[in-house]
Amino acid sequence: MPFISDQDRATIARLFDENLVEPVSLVYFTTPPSLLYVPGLETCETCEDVQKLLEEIAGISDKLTLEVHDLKSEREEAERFGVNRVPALILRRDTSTGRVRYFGAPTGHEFPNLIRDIAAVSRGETGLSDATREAIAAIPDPIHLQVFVTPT
Amino acid sequence: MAHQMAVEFENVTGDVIEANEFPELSRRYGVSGVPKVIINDKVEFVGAVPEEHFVAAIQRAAGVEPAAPTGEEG
Repeated sequence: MPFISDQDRATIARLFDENLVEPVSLVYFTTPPSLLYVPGLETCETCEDVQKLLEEIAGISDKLTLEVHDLKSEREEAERFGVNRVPALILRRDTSTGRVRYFGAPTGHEFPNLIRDIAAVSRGETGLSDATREAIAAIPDPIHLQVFVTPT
Repeated sequence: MAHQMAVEFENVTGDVIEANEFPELSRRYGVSGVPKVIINDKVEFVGAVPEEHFVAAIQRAAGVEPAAPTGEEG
């Protein structure tokens, strides 16, 4: 049973058709499900479902590619993207390391945001005001924004 | 808005974090209401705010003086 209904899929397909410009990689870090219960070992409850959801999204447009990495065995890649927890999703255009990241399942309220974010990354621009652009452009240092959310 | 800024600016990294899935991280940042925004581990606020407030908070975190509102200075 797919996560995205046929109706939602059609809506998203139309939005992607109209808005996607450059190809976008969905770079996903996960941990494979463990067959053994190991006390004290952190398990990722949402990792499998998030991967299925991302497979469905990536299947909607030819401009989208899903790249799956194992956090534990691919340390180099994880370091490159600054990822140390899963599930982690990075939206990336071109070969940049990507600065739009999601930690945890992008579901509930975050799902429509994820779809809009994919379109924004593909276009390389958003609806920010000119005043905002001017103010942020004047800051030379790295800016790290962390936004804590809940799905409902 | 964090992600919009990350899309447009090379020096901005925008992380959206599902608080329930990372309780330790949420505790470390004292998350009790959402959305909670943390900027460079220095400035924080809770709730949806207008774009200009978000920008002012970033400027505070970066140690940059906000520009004077248009019209007040020559």
